[in-house]
Amino acid sequence: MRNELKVGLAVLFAAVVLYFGVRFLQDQPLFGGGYRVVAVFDDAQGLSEGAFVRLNGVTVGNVSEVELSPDAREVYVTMDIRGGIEIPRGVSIGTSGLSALGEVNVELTPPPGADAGRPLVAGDTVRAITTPDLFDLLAGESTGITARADSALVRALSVFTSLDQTLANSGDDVTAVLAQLRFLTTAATQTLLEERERISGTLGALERAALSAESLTNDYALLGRELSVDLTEDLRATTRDIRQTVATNSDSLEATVTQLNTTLRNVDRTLADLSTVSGELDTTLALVNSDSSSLGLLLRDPSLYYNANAAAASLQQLMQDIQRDPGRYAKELELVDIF
Amino acid sequence: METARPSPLRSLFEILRPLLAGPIRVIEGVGAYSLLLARAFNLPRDLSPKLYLRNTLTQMVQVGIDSIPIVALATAFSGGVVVVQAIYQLENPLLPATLVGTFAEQSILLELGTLVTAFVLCGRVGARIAAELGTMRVKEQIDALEAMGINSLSYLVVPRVVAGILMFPLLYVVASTVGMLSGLLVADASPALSAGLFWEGAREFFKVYDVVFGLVKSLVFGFAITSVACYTGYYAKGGAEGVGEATTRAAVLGCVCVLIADYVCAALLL
Repeated sequence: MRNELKVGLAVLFAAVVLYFGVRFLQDQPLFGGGYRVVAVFDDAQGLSEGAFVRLNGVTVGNVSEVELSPDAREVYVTMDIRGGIEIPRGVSIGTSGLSALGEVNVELTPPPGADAGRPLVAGDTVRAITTPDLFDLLAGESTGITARADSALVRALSVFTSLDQTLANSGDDVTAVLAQLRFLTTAATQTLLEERERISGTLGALERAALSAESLTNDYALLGRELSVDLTEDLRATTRDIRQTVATNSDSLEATVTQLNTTLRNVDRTLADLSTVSGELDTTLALVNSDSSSLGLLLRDPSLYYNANAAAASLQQLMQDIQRDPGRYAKELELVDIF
Repeated sequence: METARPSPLRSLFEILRPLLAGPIRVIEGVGAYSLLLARAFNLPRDLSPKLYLRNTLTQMVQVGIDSIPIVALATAFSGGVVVVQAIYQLENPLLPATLVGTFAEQSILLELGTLVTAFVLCGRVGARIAAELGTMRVKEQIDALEAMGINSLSYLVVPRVVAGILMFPLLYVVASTVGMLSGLLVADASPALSAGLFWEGAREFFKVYDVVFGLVKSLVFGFAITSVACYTGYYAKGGAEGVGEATTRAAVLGCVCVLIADYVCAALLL
């Protein structure tokens, strides 16, 4: 199978799986569309995107968007309803579930009566009613709960009172524990007094060691000063030596000037030789320019230039071809198939 | 004679030199990697687009199509394990059974689908690319391409990286689908759950953005794994030992890059 076909099939397969997978997880019909209806709530009570829309307890769609109105006084909830589901006009729309558990859904209840008129269509907007959350109901019951909590607190107070009495009766045990603690403290103090001499001896040894270190530091400082004086004297002696050497070598400067004169005479002779070589070179160039010598033919024959030019053009064409399709020339560069 | 004392700054540098060697090597590596990518994607005009397309298609088959079985196998088991653990952890009379489906769907689409795929491909694709380029390097085939006037980086690196970027999202789709289906099978086989409750939970908190996030992550992972493998392989040194070292580095560095990219994507996109 060709690579193009393999890749094409895989991409198409992935696209189809992705599309239908998302539709399936969104609880939308795989084929065919539904319609959208917008419900206006005063309080969305924690409703979020993806929440179910249930009609008489049966899931008929889900919430696709929850957004505040421009003045932030209302909430627009867009619902995707499956195709084929007819929601009668006048339907009662509210929320159900516990927002604390993140399970708030939209609950649709059809109006009473057999004929409720034509059903909702795509784009319709319906006013929703706000049903109280379970926690709101609990808040309504708060007075009774407070009274019950008050009686529970009275009972807890009586329990604590009896516990306090029990602790008062066990006062002797606490006294015994404190006496034992006092005995232990006295023993620790006595041990410290006995070891006092050894501790003071250790501290004295430390003090002597510090004094020795200070004396050693002073010795090193003295040694440094002595070394510095010696070095200064050595430097003065070396300077005197250098001056004497310069005075002694004044004769050798004259000898150097003599050698320089000799070198200049040698340069004159070399220039005369160069003039001779130049005359010979003129003779050779005259031969090259004449048609009788082979070198002259090589330089003046135009066919040689045209041949070289044609060869360069062919080489350039070959390189361009190699760069366009290296595989044609690099068949020998076989890659190692490891996996 | 008193010896000259080194400056405090120099002394500090000498003390810190062993500690700084590692970070400096890492910074140099990042620089070399960036330069390699810059040179590779500076496409020369004289290399024909048809040649690029042919090479890229070959790499797409090797990176993507040939990896489907191993990716499917890995995510099938991962999806099953997620559901088993979710049933174990959420077994509480106060929690609805549908939470298992929610937990599995979020785990697979947001994390496992991409991460398991990336780890499997670090070993399979990353190591393969590094070994391939490393062998070409030590056998001087890359030098031969350069001698022929071909930009070896563009010729070798670009098709592999492009194939990785294009095929990883496809593998993510396969991995997520297989993971969810295996989770469904495990849920259905469990006495604590049914397939219906599993799907109900999965649908309840599903958002399209979960899939978009997974696809974006797979693009990033595809680029990271293939480009790092190209870098280690292209700069392989020595003989067979160097190729082996480059292969190991490609797998390890690829995994590290995937983990870092995973955190960055989560921090930026969630």
